[in-house]
Amino acid sequence: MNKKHHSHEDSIDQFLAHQPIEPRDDFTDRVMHSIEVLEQGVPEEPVVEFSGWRRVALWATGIAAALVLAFGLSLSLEQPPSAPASDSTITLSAEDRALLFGDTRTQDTASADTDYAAMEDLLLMADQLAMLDTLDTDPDWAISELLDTQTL
Amino acid sequence: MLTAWQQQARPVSSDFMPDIAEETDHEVDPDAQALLAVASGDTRAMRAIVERWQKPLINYFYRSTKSRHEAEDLAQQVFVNLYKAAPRYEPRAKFSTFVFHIARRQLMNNWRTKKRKPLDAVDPEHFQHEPDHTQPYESTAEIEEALGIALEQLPEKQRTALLLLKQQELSYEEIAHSMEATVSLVKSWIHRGRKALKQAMEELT
Repeated sequence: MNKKHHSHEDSIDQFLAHQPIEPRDDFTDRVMHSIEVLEQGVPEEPVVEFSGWRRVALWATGIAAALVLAFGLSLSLEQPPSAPASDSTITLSAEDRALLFGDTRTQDTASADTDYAAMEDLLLMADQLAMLDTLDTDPDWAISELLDTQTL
Repeated sequence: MLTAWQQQARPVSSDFMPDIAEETDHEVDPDAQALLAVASGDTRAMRAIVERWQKPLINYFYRSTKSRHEAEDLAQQVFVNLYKAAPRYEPRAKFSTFVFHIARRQLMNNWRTKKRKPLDAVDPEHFQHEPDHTQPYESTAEIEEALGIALEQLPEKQRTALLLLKQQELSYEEIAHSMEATVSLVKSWIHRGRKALKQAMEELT
Protein backbone atom coordinates (compact mmCIF):
# COMPACT_ATOMS: atom_id res chain seq x y z
CA MET A 1 0.00 0.00 0.00
CA ASN A 2 2.83 2.32 1.03
CA LYS A 3 4.74 1.41 -2.14
CA LYS A 4 1.67 2.18 -4.25
CA HIS A 5 1.27 5.51 -2.47
CA HIS A 6 4.88 6.39 -3.27
CA SER A 7 4.54 5.40 -6.90
CA HIS A 8 1.52 7.72 -7.18
CA GLU A 9 3.57 10.53 -5.69
CA ASP A 10 6.37 9.84 -8.16
CA SER A 11 3.99 9.77 -11.10
CA ILE A 12 2.49 13.10 -10.09
CA ASP A 13 5.92 14.67 -9.65
CA GLN A 14 7.06 13.34 -13.01
CA PHE A 15 3.90 14.56 -14.70
CA LEU A 16 4.18 18.04 -13.20
CA ALA A 17 7.88 18.37 -13.96
CA HIS A 18 7.47 17.14 -17.51
CA GLN A 19 7.53 19.79 -20.23
CA PRO A 20 6.01 18.07 -23.26
CA ILE A 21 6.09 20.98 -25.69
CA GLU A 22 9.23 21.86 -27.62
CA PRO A 23 8.98 25.42 -28.97
CA ARG A 24 8.96 25.77 -32.74
CA ASP A 25 12.22 26.78 -34.41
CA ASP A 26 10.84 30.14 -35.52
CA PHE A 27 9.35 31.09 -32.16
CA THR A 28 12.16 33.48 -31.18
CA ASP A 29 12.03 35.19 -34.58
CA ARG A 30 8.27 35.60 -34.27
CA VAL A 31 8.61 37.23 -30.86
CA MET A 32 11.39 39.53 -32.03
CA HIS A 33 9.28 40.49 -35.03
CA SER A 34 6.36 41.45 -32.76
CA ILE A 35 8.72 43.58 -30.71
CA GLU A 36 10.05 45.27 -33.85
CA VAL A 37 6.49 45.98 -34.97
CA LEU A 38 5.77 47.41 -31.53
CA GLU A 39 8.81 49.66 -31.72
CA GLN A 40 7.77 50.97 -35.11
CA GLY A 41 4.39 51.85 -33.68
CA VAL A 42 2.48 49.84 -36.24
CA PRO A 43 -0.46 48.08 -34.62
CA GLU A 44 -0.17 44.36 -35.03
CA GLU A 45 -2.99 42.70 -36.87
CA PRO A 46 -4.89 40.40 -34.57
CA VAL A 47 -4.47 36.77 -35.47
CA VAL A 48 -7.87 35.22 -35.95
CA GLU A 49 -7.81 31.49 -36.05
CA PHE A 50 -10.90 29.42 -36.59
CA SER A 51 -10.78 25.80 -35.69
CA GLY A 52 -13.08 22.78 -35.80
CA TRP A 53 -16.79 23.50 -36.03
CA ARG A 54 -16.17 27.26 -36.34
CA ARG A 55 -14.31 26.71 -39.57
CA VAL A 56 -17.13 24.48 -40.85
CA ALA A 57 -19.72 27.11 -39.87
CA LEU A 58 -17.71 29.79 -41.64
CA TRP A 59 -17.52 27.76 -44.83
CA ALA A 60 -21.26 26.94 -44.66
CA THR A 61 -22.11 30.64 -44.26
CA GLY A 62 -19.88 31.54 -47.20
CA ILE A 63 -21.40 28.89 -49.46
CA ALA A 64 -24.95 29.89 -48.47
CA ALA A 65 -24.19 33.55 -49.23
CA ALA A 66 -22.75 32.61 -52.63
CA LEU A 67 -25.85 30.52 -53.46
CA VAL A 68 -28.22 33.35 -52.49
CA LEU A 69 -26.20 35.75 -54.64
CA ALA A 70 -26.22 33.39 -57.62
CA PHE A 71 -29.98 32.79 -57.26
CA GLY A 72 -30.66 36.54 -57.09
CA LEU A 73 -28.52 37.13 -60.16
CA SER A 74 -30.28 34.44 -62.17
CA LEU A 75 -33.67 35.92 -61.25
CA SER A 76 -32.61 39.39 -62.38
CA LEU A 77 -31.34 37.99 -65.69
CA GLU A 78 -34.67 36.28 -66.33
CA GLN A 79 -36.58 39.60 -65.99
CA PRO A 80 -37.81 41.13 -69.32
CA PRO A 81 -35.60 44.04 -70.40
CA SER A 82 -38.38 46.58 -69.99
CA ALA A 83 -42.03 46.69 -69.12
CA PRO A 84 -44.41 46.87 -72.10
CA ALA A 85 -45.65 50.33 -72.89
CA SER A 86 -49.12 51.16 -71.71
CA ASP A 87 -51.90 51.64 -74.24
CA SER A 88 -52.17 55.40 -73.60
CA THR A 89 -48.58 56.07 -74.69
CA ILE A 90 -47.91 56.89 -78.32
CA THR A 91 -44.47 55.77 -79.42
CA LEU A 92 -42.98 57.25 -82.54
CA SER A 93 -40.51 55.38 -84.61
CA ALA A 94 -37.49 57.17 -86.14
CA GLU A 95 -39.23 57.22 -89.53
CA ASP A 96 -42.42 58.74 -88.04
CA ARG A 97 -40.40 61.43 -86.27
CA ALA A 98 -38.50 62.28 -89.45
CA LEU A 99 -41.79 62.50 -91.33
CA LEU A 100 -43.57 64.64 -88.74
CA PHE A 101 -40.78 66.89 -87.39
CA GLY A 102 -37.99 66.63 -89.89
CA ASP A 103 -35.70 65.28 -87.15
CA THR A 104 -33.39 62.77 -88.71
CA ARG A 105 -31.83 61.67 -85.44
CA THR A 106 -33.49 59.26 -83.11
CA GLN A 107 -34.04 60.32 -79.50
CA ASP A 108 -31.43 57.83 -78.30
CA THR A 109 -28.80 59.13 -80.69
CA ALA A 110 -29.43 62.72 -79.58
CA SER A 111 -29.08 61.76 -75.95
CA ALA A 112 -25.88 59.84 -76.62
CA ASP A 113 -24.45 62.85 -78.46
CA THR A 114 -25.17 65.11 -75.49
CA ASP A 115 -23.53 62.63 -73.09
CA TYR A 116 -20.49 62.35 -75.33
CA ALA A 117 -20.09 66.11 -75.51
CA ALA A 118 -20.34 66.40 -71.71
CA MET A 119 -17.78 63.67 -71.31
CA GLU A 120 -15.44 65.40 -73.72
CA ASP A 121 -15.72 68.62 -71.70
CA LEU A 122 -14.92 66.74 -68.53
CA LEU A 123 -11.89 65.05 -70.07
CA LEU A 124 -10.66 68.38 -71.33
CA MET A 125 -11.02 69.93 -67.89
CA ALA A 126 -9.23 66.98 -66.30
CA ASP A 127 -6.34 67.36 -68.79
CA GLN A 128 -6.07 71.03 -68.11
CA LEU A 129 -6.12 70.55 -64.37
CA ALA A 130 -3.44 67.89 -64.58
CA MET A 131 -1.29 70.14 -66.72
CA LEU A 132 -1.67 73.12 -64.40
CA ASP A 133 -0.94 70.94 -61.40
CA THR A 134 2.24 69.65 -63.02
CA LEU A 135 3.43 73.17 -63.69
CA ASP A 136 2.92 74.02 -60.02
CA THR A 137 0.99 77.14 -60.88
CA ASP A 138 -0.76 79.55 -58.59
CA PRO A 139 -4.16 77.99 -57.79
CA ASP A 140 -6.13 81.25 -58.21
CA TRP A 141 -4.56 81.88 -61.59
CA ALA A 142 -5.17 78.27 -62.59
CA ILE A 143 -8.87 78.47 -61.76
CA SER A 144 -9.39 81.75 -63.60
CA GLU A 145 -7.45 80.40 -66.56
CA LEU A 146 -9.58 77.30 -66.60
CA LEU A 147 -12.81 79.26 -66.41
CA ASP A 148 -11.67 81.46 -69.27
CA THR A 149 -10.92 78.39 -71.37
CA GLN A 150 -14.32 76.95 -70.65
CA THR A 151 -16.03 80.21 -71.54
CA LEU A 152 -14.19 80.34 -74.82
CA MET B 1 19.75 54.37 -25.15
CA LEU B 2 16.02 53.90 -24.88
CA THR B 3 13.98 53.47 -27.99
CA ALA B 4 11.24 56.01 -28.60
CA TRP B 5 8.60 53.43 -27.85
CA GLN B 6 10.16 52.40 -24.55
CA GLN B 7 10.47 56.01 -23.43
CA GLN B 8 6.74 56.45 -23.84
CA ALA B 9 5.65 53.06 -22.61
CA ARG B 10 4.19 52.24 -19.25
CA PRO B 11 4.89 48.68 -18.26
CA VAL B 12 1.93 46.39 -17.85
CA SER B 13 3.20 45.11 -14.54
CA SER B 14 4.00 48.49 -13.05
CA ASP B 15 2.21 47.63 -9.81
CA PHE B 16 4.42 44.64 -9.20
CA MET B 17 8.03 44.71 -8.16
CA PRO B 18 8.65 42.00 -5.56
CA ASP B 19 11.03 42.92 -2.83
CA ILE B 20 13.29 40.09 -1.74
CA ALA B 21 16.54 41.99 -1.92
CA GLU B 22 18.37 39.70 0.47
CA GLU B 23 18.25 36.90 -2.12
CA THR B 24 19.88 38.94 -4.86
CA ASP B 25 22.44 40.92 -2.93
CA HIS B 26 25.13 38.29 -3.22
CA GLU B 27 24.34 36.81 -6.61
CA VAL B 28 23.76 38.36 -10.00
CA ASP B 29 20.80 36.96 -11.92
CA PRO B 30 21.92 36.85 -15.59
CA ASP B 31 18.33 37.20 -16.83
CA ALA B 32 17.83 40.28 -14.69
CA GLN B 33 21.03 41.71 -16.13
CA ALA B 34 19.75 40.92 -19.61
CA LEU B 35 16.47 42.74 -18.97
CA LEU B 36 18.40 45.77 -17.78
CA ALA B 37 20.37 45.62 -21.01
CA VAL B 38 17.08 45.48 -22.93
CA ALA B 39 16.07 48.68 -21.16
CA SER B 40 19.22 50.22 -22.60
CA GLY B 41 18.17 49.22 -26.10
CA ASP B 42 20.06 45.93 -26.46
CA THR B 43 17.80 43.76 -28.60
CA ARG B 44 20.26 40.84 -28.52
CA ALA B 45 19.68 40.65 -24.77
CA MET B 46 15.95 40.37 -25.45
CA ARG B 47 16.58 37.54 -27.87
CA ALA B 48 18.60 35.74 -25.19
CA ILE B 49 15.73 36.09 -22.73
CA VAL B 50 13.27 34.73 -25.28
CA GLU B 51 15.48 31.74 -26.02
CA ARG B 52 16.01 31.00 -22.36
CA TRP B 53 12.38 31.31 -21.22
CA GLN B 54 10.28 30.16 -24.18
CA LYS B 55 10.12 26.51 -23.20
CA PRO B 56 9.24 27.03 -19.51
CA LEU B 57 6.58 29.59 -20.42
CA ILE B 58 5.01 27.63 -23.26
CA ASN B 59 4.79 24.52 -21.08
CA TYR B 60 3.40 26.47 -18.15
CA PHE B 61 0.64 27.83 -20.39
CA TYR B 62 0.13 24.50 -22.10
CA ARG B 63 -0.70 22.76 -18.81
CA SER B 64 -3.44 25.34 -18.27
CA THR B 65 -4.83 25.76 -21.77
CA LYS B 66 -4.20 22.32 -23.34
CA SER B 67 -3.56 24.12 -26.61
CA ARG B 68 -0.13 24.55 -28.15
CA HIS B 69 -1.22 27.51 -30.26
CA GLU B 70 -2.74 29.30 -27.32
CA ALA B 71 0.28 28.55 -25.14
CA GLU B 72 2.60 30.01 -27.78
CA ASP B 73 0.46 33.11 -28.22
CA LEU B 74 0.38 33.69 -24.47
CA ALA B 75 4.14 33.18 -24.15
CA GLN B 76 4.70 35.63 -27.00
CA GLN B 77 2.54 38.20 -25.24
CA VAL B 78 4.53 37.72 -22.01
CA PHE B 79 7.74 38.52 -23.86
CA VAL B 80 6.20 41.63 -25.37
CA ASN B 81 5.05 42.68 -21.89
CA LEU B 82 8.52 42.00 -20.51
CA TYR B 83 9.97 44.24 -23.20
CA LYS B 84 7.49 46.96 -22.30
CA ALA B 85 8.30 46.58 -18.60
CA ALA B 86 12.08 46.64 -19.10
CA PRO B 87 12.57 50.42 -18.64
CA ARG B 88 11.00 50.25 -15.20
CA TYR B 89 12.43 46.92 -14.12
CA GLU B 90 14.43 46.84 -10.91
CA PRO B 91 16.08 43.51 -10.11
CA ARG B 92 14.92 43.23 -6.53
CA ALA B 93 13.59 39.72 -6.98
CA LYS B 94 14.57 36.58 -8.79
CA PHE B 95 13.79 36.98 -12.49
CA SER B 96 11.65 33.83 -12.58
CA THR B 97 9.34 35.31 -9.94
CA PHE B 98 8.85 38.38 -12.10
CA VAL B 99 8.30 36.38 -15.28
CA PHE B 100 5.71 34.06 -13.80
CA HIS B 101 3.88 36.91 -12.16
CA ILE B 102 3.42 38.45 -15.61
CA ALA B 103 2.61 35.04 -17.09
CA ARG B 104 -0.11 34.30 -14.55
CA ARG B 105 -1.70 37.70 -15.12
CA GLN B 106 -1.59 37.08 -18.84
CA LEU B 107 -3.35 33.74 -18.37
CA MET B 108 -6.03 35.24 -16.16
CA ASN B 109 -6.62 38.10 -18.62
CA ASN B 110 -6.94 35.53 -21.36
CA TRP B 111 -9.58 33.64 -19.39
CA ARG B 112 -11.49 36.82 -18.67
CA THR B 113 -11.44 37.67 -22.37
CA LYS B 114 -12.68 34.24 -23.31
CA LYS B 115 -15.23 34.28 -20.46
CA ARG B 116 -14.69 30.64 -19.84
CA LYS B 117 -12.18 28.25 -18.40
CA PRO B 118 -9.91 26.79 -21.05
CA LEU B 119 -11.03 23.24 -21.49
CA ASP B 120 -10.55 22.90 -25.24
CA ALA B 121 -9.84 19.45 -26.51
CA VAL B 122 -6.21 18.75 -27.24
CA ASP B 123 -5.27 18.66 -30.87
CA PRO B 124 -3.79 15.15 -31.19
CA GLU B 125 -1.22 16.49 -33.65
CA HIS B 126 0.25 18.71 -30.95
CA PHE B 127 0.05 16.36 -28.02
CA GLN B 128 3.47 14.91 -27.65
CA HIS B 129 3.69 11.92 -25.41
CA GLU B 130 7.17 10.99 -24.47
CA PRO B 131 6.75 7.53 -23.00
CA ASP B 132 9.07 6.67 -20.17
CA HIS B 133 9.60 2.92 -20.25
CA THR B 134 10.99 2.85 -16.72
CA GLN B 135 7.47 3.58 -15.47
CA PRO B 136 5.84 0.68 -13.61
CA TYR B 137 2.53 1.30 -15.39
CA GLU B 138 1.57 -0.24 -18.67
CA SER B 139 0.24 3.00 -20.11
CA THR B 140 2.12 6.21 -19.42
CA ALA B 141 -0.19 8.03 -21.81
CA GLU B 142 -3.18 6.94 -19.76
CA ILE B 143 -1.66 8.36 -16.58
CA GLU B 144 -0.68 11.53 -18.38
CA GLU B 145 -4.23 11.96 -19.65
CA ALA B 146 -5.82 11.31 -16.25
CA LEU B 147 -3.48 13.68 -14.49
CA GLY B 148 -3.95 16.27 -17.24
CA ILE B 149 -7.70 16.21 -16.74
CA ALA B 150 -7.33 16.33 -12.95
CA LEU B 151 -4.90 19.26 -13.23
CA GLU B 152 -7.30 21.16 -15.48
CA GLN B 153 -10.08 20.73 -12.97
CA LEU B 154 -8.06 22.13 -10.07
CA PRO B 155 -8.75 25.72 -8.96
CA GLU B 156 -6.38 28.08 -10.74
CA LYS B 157 -4.34 28.93 -7.61
CA GLN B 158 -3.72 25.27 -6.76
CA ARG B 159 -2.71 24.46 -10.33
CA THR B 160 -0.41 27.49 -10.68
CA ALA B 161 1.25 26.85 -7.31
CA LEU B 162 1.85 23.20 -8.21
CA LEU B 163 3.26 24.04 -11.64
CA LEU B 164 5.53 26.76 -10.30
CA LEU B 165 6.85 24.39 -7.64
CA LYS B 166 7.35 21.26 -9.71
CA GLN B 167 7.55 22.36 -13.34
CA GLN B 168 9.41 25.64 -12.83
CA GLU B 169 11.21 24.69 -9.61
CA LEU B 170 10.44 27.90 -7.79
CA SER B 171 10.72 27.94 -3.99
CA TYR B 172 7.68 28.43 -1.76
CA GLU B 173 8.83 32.00 -1.09
CA GLU B 174 9.20 32.76 -4.78
CA ILE B 175 5.78 31.31 -5.52
CA ALA B 176 4.30 33.40 -2.72
CA HIS B 177 5.86 36.55 -4.20
CA SER B 178 4.82 35.65 -7.69
CA MET B 179 1.22 34.96 -6.69
CA GLU B 180 1.06 37.80 -4.16
CA ALA B 181 0.15 35.44 -1.32
CA THR B 182 1.63 34.19 1.93
CA VAL B 183 3.87 31.15 2.07
CA SER B 184 1.40 29.29 4.26
CA LEU B 185 -1.37 29.90 1.74
CA VAL B 186 0.86 28.61 -1.06
CA LYS B 187 1.63 25.47 0.96
CA SER B 188 -2.06 24.95 1.53
CA TRP B 189 -2.85 25.26 -2.21
CA ILE B 190 -0.08 22.83 -3.07
CA HIS B 191 -1.23 20.33 -0.46
CA ARG B 192 -4.82 20.42 -1.68
CA GLY B 193 -3.77 20.25 -5.30
CA ARG B 194 -1.57 17.23 -4.74
CA LYS B 195 -4.35 15.54 -2.80
CA ALA B 196 -6.74 15.98 -5.73
CA LEU B 197 -4.18 14.61 -8.19
CA LYS B 198 -3.49 11.60 -5.94
CA GLN B 199 -7.20 10.91 -5.82
CA ALA B 200 -7.30 10.95 -9.61
CA MET B 201 -4.43 8.44 -9.69
CA GLU B 202 -6.15 6.15 -7.21
CA GLU B 203 -9.30 6.16 -9.30
CA LEU B 204 -7.21 5.19 -12.32
CA THR B 205 -5.39 2.24 -10.72
